[in-house]
Amino acid sequence: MCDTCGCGDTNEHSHGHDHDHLHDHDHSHEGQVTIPVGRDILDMNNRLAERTRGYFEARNIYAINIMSSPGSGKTTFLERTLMELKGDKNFFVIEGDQQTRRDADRISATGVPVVQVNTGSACHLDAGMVNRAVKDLNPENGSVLLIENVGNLICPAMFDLGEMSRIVMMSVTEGEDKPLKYPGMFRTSNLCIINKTDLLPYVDYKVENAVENGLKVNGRLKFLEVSALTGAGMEEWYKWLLANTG
Amino acid sequence: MHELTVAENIINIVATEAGKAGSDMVSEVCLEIGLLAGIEYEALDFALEVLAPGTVMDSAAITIEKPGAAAKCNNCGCEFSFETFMGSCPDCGSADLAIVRGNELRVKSITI
Ligand SMILES: Nc1nc2c(ncn2[C@@H]2O[C@H](COP(=O)(O)OP(=O)(O)OP(=O)(O)O)[C@@H](O)[C@H]2O)c(=O)[nH]1
Ligand SMILES: [Mg+2]
Ligand SMILES: [Zn+2]
Repeated sequence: MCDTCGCGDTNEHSHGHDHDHLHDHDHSHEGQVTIPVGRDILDMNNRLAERTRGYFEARNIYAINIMSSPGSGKTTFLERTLMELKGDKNFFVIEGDQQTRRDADRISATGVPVVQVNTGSACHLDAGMVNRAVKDLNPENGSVLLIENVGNLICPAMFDLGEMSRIVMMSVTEGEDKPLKYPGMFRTSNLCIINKTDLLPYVDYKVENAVENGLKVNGRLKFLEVSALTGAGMEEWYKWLLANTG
Repeated sequence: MHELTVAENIINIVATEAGKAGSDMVSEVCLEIGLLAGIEYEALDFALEVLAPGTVMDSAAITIEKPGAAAKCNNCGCEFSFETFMGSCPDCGSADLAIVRGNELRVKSITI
């Protein structure tokens, strides 16, 4: 155990000399010096996200980061939301996908302004991509910005985009144990949308078990059950949205 | 594979900090990556192995500290450690919890 850096794992602690700890161990032997750094590895991302958040706050824009596995129904859910609510609220959308403009084209068909971000090899949106997309999109004061992240239950959870809320979606065809398998995503979200409830009769999925698993990971998580296809349950989501976005 | 992004950021931070100290080569890098940070340690090792050659970290020994997870209850004030799940306080049952350890994702120190 090294005092200066506190490194605990002596096995991986390789120096080019015998290391018997008889001398004062402060890492400054043999002309070497240990410099404390203490910098967050994602601090570039986090700082940029904070700047974007400040921009949103100044313009009273409510930004929501929507995450799920590929195909849980994020775009379908957004399409319905926009069609049914665009008369009541100003919406703007950022679509994140590794490739193609397909989701942006679907959103565009609703008449709502959208920017597609292609992340290429990256499996998540990051603060830089969103910051640039926001400049392109130039959302109006007082609007709601919906950000559809790349379909992936792991990586997006690590990247703050400057959002005010995080929504994780799971569909009933994915299994009740998603929260236990991907705790990071569920721990950092404040709302969980359970989608494709129209398929409940055909799958071995009990909503109460999924909710119980979600609460094990994050006791403050809220749940809403919807079918983006049939529209069932969407009213509750609209209430949540209008209540949170003022 | 966000570990690639993370590895890139580590190398950039190390290069900047070593540069400030007037060095372009480090012999040791100590990282602090908590169990809740969302990092697959093996994937990160692999990413660093791929990216380090030719950089400031070319010949660096890498040590990773791995703090376990702990939370504090905002209701009764107790602190407790947990593995992956922290749904509610073991003492009072409240769900109003704050993570106090395990989210670390830091370059802790470098040796030049
Ligand atoms: N039965 C049923 N199908 C749905 C529902 N919502 C979405 N789908 C279908 O699920 C498939 C994927 O839907 P998308 O909306 O493209 O999913 P996504 O999460 O945006 O997918 P990615 O952007 O690729 O991650 C499509 O075939 C949708 O029609 C639902 O509530 N019920
Ligand atoms: Mg989509
Ligand atoms: Zn408590």
